[in-house]
This record gives sequence, structure tokens and C-alpha cells, in this order.
Amino acid sequence: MGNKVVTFTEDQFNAYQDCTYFTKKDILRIFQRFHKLNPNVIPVEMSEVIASTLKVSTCFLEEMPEFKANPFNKRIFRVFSSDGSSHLTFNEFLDMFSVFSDAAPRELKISYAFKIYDFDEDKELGRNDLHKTLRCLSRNELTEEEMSFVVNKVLEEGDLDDKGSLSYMEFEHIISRDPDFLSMFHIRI
Amino acid sequence: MFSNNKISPLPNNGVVDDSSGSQVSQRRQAVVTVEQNSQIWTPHLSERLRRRTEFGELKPTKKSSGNLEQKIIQIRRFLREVAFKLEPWRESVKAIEGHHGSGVASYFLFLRWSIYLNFGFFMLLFGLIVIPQVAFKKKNYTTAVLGINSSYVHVNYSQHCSQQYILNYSSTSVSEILLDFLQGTGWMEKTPLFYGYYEGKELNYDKSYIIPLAYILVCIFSLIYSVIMMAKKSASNFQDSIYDATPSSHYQFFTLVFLSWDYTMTDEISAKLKLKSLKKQIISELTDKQYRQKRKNLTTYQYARIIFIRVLVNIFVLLCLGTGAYLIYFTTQFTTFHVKPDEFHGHHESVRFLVEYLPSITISALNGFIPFVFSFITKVEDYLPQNQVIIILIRTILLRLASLIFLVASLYKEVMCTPKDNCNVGVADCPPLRCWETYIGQQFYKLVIMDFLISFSLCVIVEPLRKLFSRCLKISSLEPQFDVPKNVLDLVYTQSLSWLGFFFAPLLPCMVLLKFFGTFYLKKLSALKWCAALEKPYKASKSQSLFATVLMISFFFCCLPIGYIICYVPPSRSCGPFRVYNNMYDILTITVELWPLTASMIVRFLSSSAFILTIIVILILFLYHCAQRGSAQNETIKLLRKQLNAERKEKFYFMMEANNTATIVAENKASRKQ
Repeated sequence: MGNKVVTFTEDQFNAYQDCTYFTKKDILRIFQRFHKLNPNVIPVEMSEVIASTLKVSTCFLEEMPEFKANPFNKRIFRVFSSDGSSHLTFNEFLDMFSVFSDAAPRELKISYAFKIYDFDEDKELGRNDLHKTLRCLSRNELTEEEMSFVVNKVLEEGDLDDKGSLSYMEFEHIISRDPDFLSMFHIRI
Repeated sequence: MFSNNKISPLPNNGVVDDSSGSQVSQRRQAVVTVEQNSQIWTPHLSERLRRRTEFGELKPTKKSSGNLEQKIIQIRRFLREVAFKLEPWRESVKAIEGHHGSGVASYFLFLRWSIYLNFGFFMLLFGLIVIPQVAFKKKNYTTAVLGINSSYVHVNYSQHCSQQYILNYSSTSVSEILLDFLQGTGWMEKTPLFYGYYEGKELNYDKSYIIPLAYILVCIFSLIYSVIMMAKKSASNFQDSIYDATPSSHYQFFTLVFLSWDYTMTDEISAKLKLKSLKKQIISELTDKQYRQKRKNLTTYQYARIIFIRVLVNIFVLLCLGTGAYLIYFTTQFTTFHVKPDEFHGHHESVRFLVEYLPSITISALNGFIPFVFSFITKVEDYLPQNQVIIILIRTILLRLASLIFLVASLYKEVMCTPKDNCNVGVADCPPLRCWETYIGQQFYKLVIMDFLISFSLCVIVEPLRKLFSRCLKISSLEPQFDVPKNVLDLVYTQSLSWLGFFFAPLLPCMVLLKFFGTFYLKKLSALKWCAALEKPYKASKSQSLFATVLMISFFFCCLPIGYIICYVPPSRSCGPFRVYNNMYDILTITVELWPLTASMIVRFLSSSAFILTIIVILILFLYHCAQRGSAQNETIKLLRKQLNAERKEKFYFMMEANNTATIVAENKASRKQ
């Protein structure tokens, strides 16, 4: 960092290191990113209160190159914000990068992927969720007919109990078999 | 939202309504707790931090923390920090990944791994062969020949022959020097780069160093080192691919929806292209399904026609390979027989250069040109699109491997050509190779240089031009694309050259290392500046495991000729570390004979055919056992899948039952009230 200002206390570092998949340096690197989002407002000293209350608005978050191109960016911010507002505090910001880091375990990544795709937050990936996912992916360029075809096929493949939706178990069952998932659900810092 | 501390509502599946009786809510409660206990949903970080201070809870997946464990965690953190700092090209890989996605990045990771491999390879050879020999040359040293009284050793012959091995060259003009540099002849020939430079003696200066023994042991150990590196690499690949127990085509659309977005992408234009390609893919999957449907309804006549075409194409492929083989054989022969030292003076230098480089140019041209032909003719064969890619790939791999095999075979024919004089140099119709090992080393040296020149010119001249033309003329098909399989194959090919040639040119791995180093930056330039994003997203895992396999196969192909040469081909009498021995292998036999009796007995037993045969049988049995276990585990997976299905259905049924009972109870209550 170079400057003398203490961003985090030793206690905070320990707490963060215990609760995320980051080392001290990583946490500082993430903080640098966080600070850059809105340097005028975000203080360099991060007390516990500020880290858990000061929020950065979605429009700043979306400008980050890692998320700018991502069709699910809004959804990701929503999942990681604890009050569903899509604005993130530093804690939530750090949590997000922790999940996307390469040290995070497979199960954790899968559970967050599920949350991201579960638009209506009913713990099932229903037809609506699938339609929304496809719409995000294709930027509204698919016809209704094409989307329905794909949704039907996905349910045909993944829906084991013919309930018309994918449960977490079904989702995990397939996704944990994909060898590319880990390398793709990953954001380098 | 999905936090553990709150009781989250049950999925709203329309089965249970809130007005149901108490029994239902009890059961509902049970289901809810079941879901909660499964610990799927992690609370937010702030909540985790609070819990940590209250209960000392750690990461969602790790709970306990002892004193020792804390220490281990700290050490691990430190190591990770160091690894992060030391990881080379981290930024480059990130930039490329952001531009093209993880598939292309996997190529760069593979390239980086190859650089590590060659670095170790180079250090072994350089530290244990080149440095001792060069250092001893500078000092006054005495020599001795190991096992001088043994029947395998012919000192007098080799002394006589070594004196005849004189190079006539005049490196006066710059062009001569440059030409010699490119061909590895003239002043280059007796440098540490080639086999011929090394002495066949034990060097004594304070301590003794037996060059021949060091040479053979280091070479064998280098090969073992390569195997270990590859095994480590494919083991880590295997860990990933082990999840791939079910064929991916099973979940084609699922993968398309949930696994097509690469979270590593950061470049907006590439992301747009990626989304576009995704749309294309969805549409192509649609047409693919229709195509399969059409294929099912083929008439016998149409079916026979397809088979006929495929047979024809395969014959054509074989013909291509045959022509390639003949061309390589012909050019190698032409070069050795028509460029005798005394004929040099008659020709212009550039002619001589061209003729010298003829085999390398032929091989590179074949490798560059024939894959185009393959990709063109495979279209006629009417395969499914994804199979088409694999078939082109397999044919290209075959061509690459075959061209090396043909080269080795034609060189072998030249080396084994009889009659020979008592210095083991060909006479009459045979090429007069004073030092055939150096000659082979030169061939591989030239191939590596040619290989580098071609990839250099492709990246620096051809691709920018294509980009320019495609911009100016608005033809998008001209725009270069980053072809992952082709690039990885180039890499494997260069690596094979390194494996085949290192025995004859101990500094060849260094050249390959430099080549890879340059390639990394060239390819980065090409990926970031010249190449458009891939139309078809390339799956990282697919390439990783496939290319690890190809690398393994080519490694064993490279080991065969080297092993054969060490054991059976008589070395040159006039040069190199093995000039006094009948066979290169003899140095090992002599060393073992000098050992104490029991030790040499043990070694002799270990290398006896009876022992090796037993080992092979045991290995085969072990392999069989592993295969059996693998298939048993696959069966278990299938069973568990069924069980999962059944359990879900059971739960569903259970909810239905509960609902029914509740309704009945409610009805009863209602009727009683009435």
C-alpha cells in the first residue's frame, strides 16, 4: 500500500482471513478495487462499522471490467447484497470476490451459481428462471419459440422428478460433473 | 435471503396451501429443517463475522480450529501469498482470459507448463553434462577410460578415428558464419550444442567425473523427469475430468444454459461476440437435432453412399500420409547424398542453404498445408459438426506424429547403411557420416529453427495482414481466429522435437525453451491484437485432457528410438562420449561390473528379463484391478442417481399424502362443526 494509514486492524484482518478464502494481501488488493469505485466517498480507513454499512451503488459496481460485460451482473450484486438492494458494502464486496476466487470450494461456488440463476428466489429453477437466464444470455435475441424449446430440453435433461423445475440437488448433480465449471466460475483478482 | 438463521419459506410448489391443518405444518417444518441442515446456503459475510466472534465459527466448509491448525493455516496463507507473487504471467493470462475466455487461456497455461518442463530439462542437461565438460576443457586435466580392459572398449580405434574427424570450414565472411549458425555446421559443429563435442573419458581434476556415464544417466533421468511432470499434470487434469462420469452430450442444453457464460470474460466486445456465438450455438443445436432426425430416416442407398464416401476419404488420407512419407524420405536422402563437402564450392551459398534445409521445409510445409486439405475433405464426409472437429484433429495429430516417425526412419536408414569402414563411417554408396549423432542433432536443430521461423512469421506477418485485409475488404472469414487445437499441436510437436533431439544435441531443450518463451509473447500479441474471438467457444477441460494424452503418446514415440539407439546402434568411433564403446549401453554394464559383487548381482537380477516380466504382469493385473474398480464406481454412480430420483419422488409423494390427510382432517372438522 505504501501509505501509513491503517485500513484494517489486525483483528479485522484475522476475521476476514478466517471467513473468506483470501490472504491479507488479497484483502488489501480487493480493498484497492473497492476504494477505486468511488474514491471521494469511500474512506481509506475501514472500521468494522463502515465495512458493514457503507454501500456502493450498483452503477459504480457495474463499471468494473470484471462485471461490465457480464450479463448476470445485476443479479450477482443482488445475490451478494444482504438486503436485496444490489448495492454492496465492503464486506459483501469481499464476499463476492471470495466466492469467485480459485480457492473457494466447489460446493460453495455451485450454491452461489444456483442463487444467481434463481431469479425469483424460490430455491427452485422454474421455467421462469430458465427463461430469464436465457434472456440474459442472448440479450433478448431469441424468439419465444426457441426459448421454450431450450427450456423444455433443459428440464428434460435435468428434472429428475418431473416437477417442471430444477431443485438444488438436481442442479448440483449435473453441474458438479462439469469439469469446466470451476475454471469458468472464477474471477481473477 | 437464504440465510440459515431464519426459517425460510418452503418452495412454493402449489402442493401445500397455508390453510392446511397443523399436521401439515408439522411435516412442513420437518422438511424445512432437513433442507436447513444440509448447510447449502451460506450466510452473508457480515453474519459470518458476527458468528465468528460469538461462536468461533470459521469458513462455511471448515468448522474446527485448534492451535496447531491455526499455525498450519498461517503457513498456508504465507505460501499462497508467495505463490501469488511468483506466478509468472499472471496478468497476461488474466488479460487473455478476459478477451477470449478460459478455453484460450488454457492454451497459455499449457504453454507455461511446457516452459517449466523445458526449464527443468535444460537445467539437468546443462548443469550435469555441459558445465562439467566445458569447465574441464579450460583446465589441465588427466583422463582415463572407464573399464579399459573390458572387452567392450576399443581405445586404439577411437584414437585413430578421432584424428580423422576434422572439419574443413572457412568462416571468414559474415554470411558463411550466419549460414553455419542456421545449419549447425562448420564452426557450430564442435560446440557443446552437439553430441560430438563431448569426450568419452573419465576426467580427473581433483575429483573425477565420468562424462559417458553422466551423459547416459542424465539423459535417462531427464526422460523420467518428463514422465513425472506429465503424470503430475494429467493427474490434476484427471481430478477435474473424474467428475465427468456421465457423457456431456447427456446434458447438452443444460450446459448451454448454465455453463456457457464464462465469468472470466472482461472484454466487452468479446463478450458481445460470445453472446452472439451462443445464440448461434442454440440455433445450431436446434438444427442439429433436426439433422439427427433426418439421419435416422436414411434409406439404404443414402447410407451406403455415405459409407462409400468415407472409405474413399480415408484412403485419400492414407495416400496423403504416404506421399508425405515419401517426400520426407526423398528430401533427407537428397540432402545427404547430394551435398557432399567437396561439392559445396560449386554452388552458390543460398542453394546450399536451401538444400540443407529441404527436409525441414518439407516437414513444416506438410504440417502447414495438409490440415487444410483434411478440414476441407472432412466436410464431404457428412459427420456431425462436433465429430467433424474431432476427426480433423485426430488426422492432424496422426500427420504430425507420422512426419516425425518418417524422419526418424529415414535418418535411421542412413545411419545403419552398410558397408562401413573400421571407423564406423559409411563407404561406397553410404553417406560418409563421421559423427552420425551430431548429424541427427543437426537435423533436429534445423527443425526447431524452422519451426520458430514459421510461427514467428505467422504471428508477425501473416496474421496482421489477414486482419488488415479483413478490415479493408470487410470479409470476416479472413480475420484470423485463435485456433486452440492447432496451437497446442504445434506446441506438442516442438516438445517432441526436444525429446527426440536432446540426446544428440544436449542444448536443444534450451533452444526449445527460448522458442516457447518467444512463443508466449508472440501468441499473446496475436491473441490480444490480431485474433477475433472464437466463434465456437472452446471447452477448456476437453482440450486439457486430450492434449495431455497426445503429449504422453508422443513422448513414448520419442522414447522408443532413443532407447533403441542406446541399446543397439553402435556409436560413432570418432566423436562423442561413447566412442570407445561397442554400444552406448555398455558404459552402464561396465560400471555395474566394477561394483562390489553383491551390488552388481542385485542390479543384474533387477535388469533380468525374468524380473521385468514379473513386474509387467503385476502392472497389468493392477491396471485390470483399477479398470474394474472404475467400472464398479460407475455402476454406483448410476445407482445413486436412481436413488436420488426415487428419494425426490418419495418426498413429493409424502407431501401429497400429508396434504390429502390435512384436507380430510379439515373436512372432518368442518362436518363436525356443522
